[in-house]
Amino acid sequence: MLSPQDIRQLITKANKGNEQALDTLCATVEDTAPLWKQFNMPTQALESLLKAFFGPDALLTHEAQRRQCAALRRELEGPAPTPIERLLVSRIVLCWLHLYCVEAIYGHGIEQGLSITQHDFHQRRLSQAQSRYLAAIRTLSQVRRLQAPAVQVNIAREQVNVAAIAPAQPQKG
Amino acid sequence: MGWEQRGTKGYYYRSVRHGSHVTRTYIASGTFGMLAAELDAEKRAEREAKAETWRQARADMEALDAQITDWWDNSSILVNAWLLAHGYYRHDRGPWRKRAVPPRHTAAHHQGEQGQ
Repeated sequence: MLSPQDIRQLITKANKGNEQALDTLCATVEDTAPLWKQFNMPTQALESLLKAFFGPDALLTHEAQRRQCAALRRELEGPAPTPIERLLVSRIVLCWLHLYCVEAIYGHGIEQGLSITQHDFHQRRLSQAQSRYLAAIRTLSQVRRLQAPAVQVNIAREQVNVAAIAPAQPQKG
Repeated sequence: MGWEQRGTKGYYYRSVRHGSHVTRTYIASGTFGMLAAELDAEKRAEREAKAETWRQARADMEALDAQITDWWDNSSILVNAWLLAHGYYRHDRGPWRKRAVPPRHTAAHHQGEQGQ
C-alpha cells in the first residue's frame, strides 16, 4: 500500500512527464476501496469535529448534525454520483461543517469580548476554512463540467457546441 | 508592582506599561497599601486564569484544525491522483482541464475494445 507521500511523489513525477510514474498512479487509483479507507476519512474527522464543537456528551446534537450532513451529501451527490464526485462531495460537506463551527466559535467569542490577538487568530482560522470550502466546491464544479459530454448540435450550416452540465435526459413527447 | 522598603515603612507602587516604557506610580503605604496590593494580586490572577483558558482553547482549536488539515491534504492527494490518472491535468495551479489525447492506459483499453 502506497503512503500519501509516495503518491505525492508519483504525482510530481507524472506531472514532469515520467510515464512509469503515471502507470503506477493509474494502477493505484484503479483499486479505490483500500485507498479510500486510507486517505478518505471524513467520518473520523466529522466525529472529532462534532465532539470538539458540541461536546462529547451531546449525542442528540451529534446525530442531528450527522443527519444534516447526510442530507447535504445526498443533495450534492445527485442520483448517480461517480467515485470522484462522492469524494469531492464528502470534502464539501466536512468543510461546510468545519466552517460552520469556526464561525460559531468566533461569533460566541465576539459576544464575550476578544483581544486583538484573539480576533486575529479567529480571522485567520475563518479565512482558511472559507478558502478550503470554496476550493472544494470549485473542484467539484470543474470535475462535473469536464465529465459532462460536449454535445454538438448541427442546425443547417450553423454549428452550436453545448457543454451539458447534467447527463442528457431523454425528451418527452 | 511591588513594595519598596524605606527604613521601617513599606510603600506600595504600581508599575504600568505605556507603549515601550514603564512608569511606577505610588499607591499607598501601610494598610491601604496592603489592600491595594491584594486587589492587584486578584486582578493579576484573574488575568492569568483568562490567559490560561485562552491558551487551552487555542491549543484545542489548533489540534482540531491540524486534524482537518491532515484529512484535507490526504484527500487532495487522492483527488489529484485520480484526476491525473483519468486524463485530467492542471497547468501552473490553474483549473483542471481534460487532455485532448487520453492517457496511455485509457488509449490501450480502447484499442483492446476495438480489436475484439
